[in-house]
Amino acid sequence: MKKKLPPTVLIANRGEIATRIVHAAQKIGARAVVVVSAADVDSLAARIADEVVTIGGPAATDSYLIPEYVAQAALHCGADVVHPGYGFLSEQADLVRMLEDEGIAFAGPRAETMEAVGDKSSARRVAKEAGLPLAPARRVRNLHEAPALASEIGYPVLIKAVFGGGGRGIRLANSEQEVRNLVSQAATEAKAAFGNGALYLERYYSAARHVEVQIFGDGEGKAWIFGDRDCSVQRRHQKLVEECPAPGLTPEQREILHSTARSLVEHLKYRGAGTVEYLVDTESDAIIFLEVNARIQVEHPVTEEAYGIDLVAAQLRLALGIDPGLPTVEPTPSSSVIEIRVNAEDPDSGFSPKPGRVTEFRVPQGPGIRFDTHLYAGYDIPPYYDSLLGKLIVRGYNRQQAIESLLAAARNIKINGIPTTLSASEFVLSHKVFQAGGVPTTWFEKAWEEYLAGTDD
Amino acid sequence: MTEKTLNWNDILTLVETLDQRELESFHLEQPGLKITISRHENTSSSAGPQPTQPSHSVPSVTTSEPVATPDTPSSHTTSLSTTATIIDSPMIGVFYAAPSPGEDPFISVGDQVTEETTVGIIEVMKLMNPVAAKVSGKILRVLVENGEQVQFGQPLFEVEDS
Repeated sequence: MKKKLPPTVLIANRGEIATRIVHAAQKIGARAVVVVSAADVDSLAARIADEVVTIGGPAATDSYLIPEYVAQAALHCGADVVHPGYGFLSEQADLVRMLEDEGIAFAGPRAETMEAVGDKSSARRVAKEAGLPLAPARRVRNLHEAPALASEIGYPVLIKAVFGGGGRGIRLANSEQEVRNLVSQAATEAKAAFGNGALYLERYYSAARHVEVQIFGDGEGKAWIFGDRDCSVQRRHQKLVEECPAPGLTPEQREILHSTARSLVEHLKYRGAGTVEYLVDTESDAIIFLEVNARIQVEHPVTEEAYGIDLVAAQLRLALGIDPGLPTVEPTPSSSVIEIRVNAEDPDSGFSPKPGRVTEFRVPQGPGIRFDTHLYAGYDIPPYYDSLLGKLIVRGYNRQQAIESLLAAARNIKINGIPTTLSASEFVLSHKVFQAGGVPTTWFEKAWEEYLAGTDD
Repeated sequence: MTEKTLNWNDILTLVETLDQRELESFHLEQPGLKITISRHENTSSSAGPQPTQPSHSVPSVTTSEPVATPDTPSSHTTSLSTTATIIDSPMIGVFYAAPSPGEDPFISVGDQVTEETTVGIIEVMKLMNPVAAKVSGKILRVLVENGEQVQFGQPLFEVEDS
C-alpha cells in the first residue's frame, strides 16, 4: 500500500469519542484532523487535533450527519482514513462507498456488511445462516392454531404482523386465553395497517439481561473475540453502567456467546471492531441474538481495560493496512472493569439535559482509573448534541474491588457548573442488587422509582 | 494545530471579563491579529463609527485582520467592520466564482447584490450548491479565489451595507 508518511486520520465525530480517536491517531504516529460544526470550534478534540476542518452549522443535520461534507473534508485534508466514531455516520454505507470511490479507507466494516446487519430482517437472516441463537418464532397460518403454536414457543409471546414495522401493532400475551382473544384483532389491524393480516408469534423475555460480545475481524475471516460486556443498567434504553466481563455467566453460556459471535465474524468476513448483542433471560437462562452494531461502541473502554488492548488504534492500523497489533493467542481478561457514563443531566428533575459552562473539573488519580472525556474547565457545553460528558472507567482485580474503587472515584470527581448523573451512578454502584450482579434491563428504572418514592430498603 | 486564533466566543468572554473588572481598554497584537477593546466610544482607528452604539457601560469591540491568504483558510477569520457585512460560506467545499469555466464570474467588486443574488457556487462531492448573498449592498472585496477550498463560515465577500 503506497502511503505518504505520516498518514492522516480524519475524525468524523465530536465529543469524548473524537478526543479518544485523536489520541489514538497521534499514538500510532498519524496526523489527526477533526471535523467540527460551527458550535464545536472550541471543543477539546479541536484543541488537541493537528488540524481542524469546519464543515457546517451547529445542528448535526447541518454538519456531522452529512456524508458529503465529511467526504469533502477528507479530500480537503488529504485523509488516508476516516474514523466515524459511534452514532452520526458510523453505520452509513453511503459514506463508506463515497470514500472508497476517492481511494480513502474507512475505519469500520465494508458497506455490504453494514447493509447486511443494518436492518432487522436481514440481520436475522445473516444470524440464522451463521448459526446464532434466535428467539423462537412461528408463523401463524391459521388463527385457530395460534394457541397451540404459542404453547410450543412458551409464554409470554408477542403477536406481531409479518409485514409490520416500527413496533406497531405488537401485542403481548401471557396465556392461551389471551392469545385466543388477541389474534383476531391483531390480524384485522395488520390487514388494515399493512395491507396483509399475516401474523407470527415470538417468544418474549420480560426479565432479560443485555450482554454483548466485542468482536474484531481482519476482513478476511480471521476473528478476535474480546469477551463479553454486561450493559443491563439502562434508563429508557440508554445504558448507564457497563462492565467487562459480564458477571455470573456460566461457562456454557459464555461458550455460546463467544463461539456464535466468532462464527458471525467468520461468516461475514467482518472487518474491524464491532459488537454482537444478545439477551440473556434471567428466568430460563436462554441466550438470544439481538443485533450487530457495526462500529466501535461507547462502552469499548471496559473491554480495553480488561484485556489490555487499544481497539481504536487497532481499527486505524487495520484501515491503514498495517497489523492491528492485537494478541496472537486467545485473549483472556486480566481484571474486572466497570464504566459509568457521566451525562449533563439532572437526575433530580427526571434526567433532563442541562448544558452550560463547566467551571471546575478534576478527576481523582490512581491505579486503574480512566476518564474518557471532552471536558475542560471553562468549556461551554453546546446545547445541540447528546449530553454525554465522559465515561469513568475503573479496573479492579475482581468485581467487588472495581465497584469500590469506581464508587470512590465517582464521589471524588469534581464537575462544577452543570448537573451530572454521577449521583444516579453512585446509587447504582452502592445498591446491593447491582452488587450481587446480573440485573435485568428493567431493574434500574424500578429501583430508581422506589428510591425517589422512599420505598427502597 | 499550532496557533489559535480568537473566535467570537473568546472575544465575548474578553469583553465580559473586562467589563466586570471595569478596565478602560485592552489591546492585543499578534501575527495576523490586532484587537482593541475599549470602554469609550470612537477610540478605534480604522473601523469608523458604529451604527448602533451601545450604552456606555458596554465596551465596544473593533478588530482588524489581514485577509486570509488563499492557502490558509480558516473558519475563525471573520473581519469585523461596522459598515461592511461579510458573506460567509454556508458549507465546506470548493468555491467557484463563475457558473462554468471560462464564463464571467457571478459578481465582481463594485457590483450591487440583493439577498437573492447568486454570488458563487460551492461544490461538495460533485454537487453544485449555489450561494445566495443573503444581504444587499455593494461588493467591496472578494476574499476567495476561484477553485479555492473553503470551510463553513469562511468569509467569501465583503459587502458595503446599502
